[in-house]
Amino acid sequence: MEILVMGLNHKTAPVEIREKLSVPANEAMGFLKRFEQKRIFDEQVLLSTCNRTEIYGVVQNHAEAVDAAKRILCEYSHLDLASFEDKLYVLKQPDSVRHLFSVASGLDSMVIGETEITGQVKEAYLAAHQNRHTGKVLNNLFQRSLKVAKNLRTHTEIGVGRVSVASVAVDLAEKIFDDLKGVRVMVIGTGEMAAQLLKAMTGHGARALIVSSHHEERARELVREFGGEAVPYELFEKKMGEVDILLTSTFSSHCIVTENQVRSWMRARHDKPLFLVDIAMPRNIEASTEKMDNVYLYNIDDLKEIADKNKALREGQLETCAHLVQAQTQYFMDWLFKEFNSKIAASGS
Amino acid sequence: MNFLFFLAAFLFYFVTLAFCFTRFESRHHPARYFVLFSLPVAMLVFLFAVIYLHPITQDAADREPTRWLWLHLGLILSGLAGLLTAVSSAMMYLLQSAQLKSKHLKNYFFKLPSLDSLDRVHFISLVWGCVLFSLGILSGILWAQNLKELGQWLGDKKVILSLATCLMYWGILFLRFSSLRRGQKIAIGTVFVFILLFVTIVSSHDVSRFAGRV
Repeated sequence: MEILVMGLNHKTAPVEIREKLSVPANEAMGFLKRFEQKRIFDEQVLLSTCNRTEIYGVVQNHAEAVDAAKRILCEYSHLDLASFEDKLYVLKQPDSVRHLFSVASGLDSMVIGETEITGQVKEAYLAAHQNRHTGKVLNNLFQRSLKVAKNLRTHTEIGVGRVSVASVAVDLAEKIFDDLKGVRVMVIGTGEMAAQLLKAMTGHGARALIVSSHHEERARELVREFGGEAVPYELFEKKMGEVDILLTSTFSSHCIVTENQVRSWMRARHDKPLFLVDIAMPRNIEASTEKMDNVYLYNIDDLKEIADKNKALREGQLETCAHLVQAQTQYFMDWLFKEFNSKIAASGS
Repeated sequence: MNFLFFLAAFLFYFVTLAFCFTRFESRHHPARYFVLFSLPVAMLVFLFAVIYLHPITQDAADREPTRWLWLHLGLILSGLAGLLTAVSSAMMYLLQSAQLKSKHLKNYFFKLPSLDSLDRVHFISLVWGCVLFSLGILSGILWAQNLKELGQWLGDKKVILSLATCLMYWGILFLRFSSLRRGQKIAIGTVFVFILLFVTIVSSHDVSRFAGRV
């Protein structure tokens, strides 16, 4: 008896292959049914995300199972085996166990330490469990992988800080206003970067005011997408009294927000903190405003620097995480040996 | 008596922290870090207080405890606990604000609560601290049985300092209530008054006498 993982991910396969082998959630159980009907695995779980498709299984005969699984992948994707066989990885225990622990903890993700994958692993496991595709081995393995992910997040700094500019801005806003629900964010400019930041902020409950001097239709489009209201450029100063976060992203060659303006806004706000995010190039907000009390000004370089620092911090934790994953793998293998001693020995001989 | 007084004050402080913990703990308010930060500040204050403050006067100690005394002590201790909570939250506010200004975020940035939470804790504890402390002083005046005794009390450095602190904190509260100032300046004011009080207590005491007594 052996735990096996077969699959491909963003490191081994290009998006053209990954999208063919990606299995949507509504087809996942039908896909696993094919494995069950052909009795390839004793237990099986399918993990399919935008960056990976992996099948975890408990097998008696490793070689036969791998060949049969490859045939099913070909049938499903309508691809020749030759076009993706070299992109596939097949791992046997304990590597398969270690691999799942790393995946669930976000160590194998495109953005190291991301948490979304932990939820995806949990959903994949629950779906397989509810459809009776799992047994004692995979139940224990997947439950332990979720514990390992939690353990790593608690005992290392793998999840500290965000690593994208938009999420760093949200992090900072939450450290100023606590909860973004009810916080009003004004965006001057309708560029791609502004839209990303707006998406991140409104995703956390902020309400948007979108200002554009030249692209009114684009502003209305953003309003349709993220909610809020479009404000004519001439009226933005009048609306500043209601705003807690100001995002500027215009192509203006001069500053559109001066220190004096901010000073008068702060008087009107009774010194309530104001978060200014200037992602324009050249900058739209006078740099001297950052010296004012209760005004927190960040430009694109500041946000990138924090994101890069967090990324480096996470990468620096990889070795510690690897040690913890190794220890947990050993722990799981000890349990597996105790539980299935005779079967493992028999399959090994 | 002096030691017991401050032991009781410390217990009151714990109750206030426990209240803050239950009131503000959530995903967005990691109150445990608030408690962890506050405790060393409180410990330091109580340690210095126990070492340096004069015991209460023999005259007062000899007198039978009355309802006024218990009311006076309870209000003073609760007020002190509120003010200490205000000071520790103000210190955390300044630390978090400095982090945000510097743009070089240390690990504790992620652990400290948001400015909004800290401002709320600071404001609420300052209001309660000021009100209870003032009522404590008022009850102390009422406890004094005659004007001569009141005159003696008003000559006591501790009482003068308490009155001055109370007045300064009311001044800070006035600025906050009237929305003239908030955030960093109010937090600086709270900490400044506290440091002033602390330095005055320590410097006004005859340390050599204390050393001789030990």
